[in-house]
Amino acid sequence: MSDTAIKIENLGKRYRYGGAAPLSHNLRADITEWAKGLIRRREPRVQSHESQPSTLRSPPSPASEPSALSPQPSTPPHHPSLHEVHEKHLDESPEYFWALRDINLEIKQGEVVGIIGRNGAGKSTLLKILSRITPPTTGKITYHGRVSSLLEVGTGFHRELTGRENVFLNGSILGMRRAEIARKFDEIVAFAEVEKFLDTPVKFYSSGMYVRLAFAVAAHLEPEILVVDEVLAVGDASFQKKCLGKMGDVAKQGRTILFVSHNMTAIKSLCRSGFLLNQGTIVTSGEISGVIDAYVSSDTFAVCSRYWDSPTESPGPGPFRFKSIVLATDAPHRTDHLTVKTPFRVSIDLWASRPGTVNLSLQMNLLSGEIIFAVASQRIQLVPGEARFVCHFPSDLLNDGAYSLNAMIVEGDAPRYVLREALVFEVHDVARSGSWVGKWPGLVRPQLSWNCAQTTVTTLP
Amino acid sequence: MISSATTVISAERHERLRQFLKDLWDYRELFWTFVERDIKVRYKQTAFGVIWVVLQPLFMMGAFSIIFGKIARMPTDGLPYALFYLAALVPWNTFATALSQSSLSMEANAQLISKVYFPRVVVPGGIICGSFVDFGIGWTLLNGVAIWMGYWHWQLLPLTPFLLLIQACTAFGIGLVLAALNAQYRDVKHAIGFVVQVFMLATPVIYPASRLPLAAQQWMFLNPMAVVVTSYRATLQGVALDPQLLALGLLTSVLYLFLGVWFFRRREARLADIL
Repeated sequence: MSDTAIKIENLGKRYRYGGAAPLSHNLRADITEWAKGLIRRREPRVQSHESQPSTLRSPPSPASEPSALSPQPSTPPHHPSLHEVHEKHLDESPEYFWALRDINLEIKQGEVVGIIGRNGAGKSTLLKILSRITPPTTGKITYHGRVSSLLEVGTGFHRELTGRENVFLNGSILGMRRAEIARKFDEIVAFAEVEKFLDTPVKFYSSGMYVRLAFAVAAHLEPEILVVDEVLAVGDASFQKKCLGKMGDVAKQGRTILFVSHNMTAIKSLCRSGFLLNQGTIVTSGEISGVIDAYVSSDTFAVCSRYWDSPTESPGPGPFRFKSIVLATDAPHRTDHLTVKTPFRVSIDLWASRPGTVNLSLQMNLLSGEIIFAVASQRIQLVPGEARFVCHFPSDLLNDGAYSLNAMIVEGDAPRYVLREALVFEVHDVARSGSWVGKWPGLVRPQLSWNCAQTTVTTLP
Repeated sequence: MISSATTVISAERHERLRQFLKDLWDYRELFWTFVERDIKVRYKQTAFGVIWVVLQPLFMMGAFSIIFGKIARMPTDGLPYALFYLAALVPWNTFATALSQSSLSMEANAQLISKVYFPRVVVPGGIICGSFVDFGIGWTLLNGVAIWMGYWHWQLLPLTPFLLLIQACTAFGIGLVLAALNAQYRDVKHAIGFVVQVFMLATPVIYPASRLPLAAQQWMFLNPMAVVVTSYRATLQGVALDPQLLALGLLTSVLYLFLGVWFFRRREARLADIL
């Protein structure tokens, strides 16, 4: 037996932007194509697109295209099914994209592999293919043994059922035998610390209890290969530690683990090797610290500066327009890797085509759109020409996460123009002493001053 | 420690029948778990609980007897109204529930399907299997009423498993097609209630099969539920059953089942992407 646990060859997965096509669009295209097919049935041509790669408009990369496309051109002509028509429809539209492309990997048995990448890099798609939730479009994966995947904590938990019933339900769904669950039942319950509530429906559980019970089931899986998506981000810190410890034990027993996380500290403490995904391909692989360095220094997502060449090109109406918006830091800090400890400034240049009293307002948002805070500059008198506004952001203000900044030009009391997502950037956590405790709660993470001292010494009754 | 079982994931994997059957066998425990879950959840937090299974056909029997019997004076080929309608409503209700629930099952379990692998057939399969419990209770009620009214016939016992098989195959087959379609076209969800109603009107539930035009009676086997309902009634009337009709009904239902499995399997792999 070879010691290769997972072998991935030429793996690719194609999706369509915005999920499946709108319904009417789909159905109409399906039916008309299908009807056309009926009429053309006797013509000696191959209908299936998969046997006719030449009709593809422009495959993004030809490298692996023919290898996994099954039927050879010698396939006898046949009438396309609705499914094939649909596939063809997707292929001919420019709206599809490859979420994964040309992935080749070999993972040894007992390895703990970290998968790193920005949102949308293809990490989850890879895990979904590995877990057999969705089939690949090209290529194949060969693996030995049983795969259990934890893409979510508490998959299949039913609110109306009791804790006890849910342990069996969830365990079965994750691929455990009932006898196996029964054997480990007491251990699972003790791990989750919910003994007293076993016969209470989980809808009455606190969210902490719910997560603990769900993770306890998962932690007792004994597959040869364990696939873990970012599920550790839930639960309180001490329970996270317990789970990490449990996962470390699993790794020591010679199991292979694939671990996706945005938390570099967790990845570093758990994995020895890893790979970095970017836009569906593997950019770097190997020893974990090298991969993390590559990730941290790459910059494919942030917008840290914007320039406009002339007032006419600058967006928005009105006499006052943006010339540039730049996020900057001072050495030794790096603009391409902001941390919670990095002070930075946002510098905005404006063109003014007439005199006016102007101030600028900045609004800090989460990428999900929630506003964290807004700041406004003082008003200044402008005459035609250029002006510069600089706003200083101290360290220990933002939490780790991704943020966007809106910039608004205000004349007098009237807002003139709002530039949405003027800047988009990510703030990273810094390595902290002690073991990993995950993301800090809260939208901001200020460092406030404390006065702490013992005030009296006495024996309490 | 490492089992030597090798798995290959590829674009064509799901097309292989052997793989499909092996997966079904590997996930047999999950199938029972789903059956158990559906039964347990069904009457949670209801005041009457399982009594609903008895109340529902009884109420409908009463309503049908009064409206179609006493008011519309529907002929019943000699059966009392209560029995005439109960014999049809017990199989029909479990069939209709199983059909509509399995049609919506992919959407209802979308969360699960996008996070874990298992043969997707297991979900509607579990629903069909779970409907047998309701059927069993309704069937016991039917027997009780038949004995009480003096129409009970021993043939009911050997006939039931056979008719239940026809009913289950039909519900499963059609349910699979609709479930796969509903995953992509949610129109199915809106149409299903209406489809089931029309299906009921096309099945001799309200009226006796003998009122159908002769041509329709000859092609009745195409609707296996018509065969099921008619056979229950005929047994209670003490009329000899038509073996040819039963055989054709079974054949059609098995055909529907194969059609459903075939159609579903073609789309099964992509379900997680389109749900």
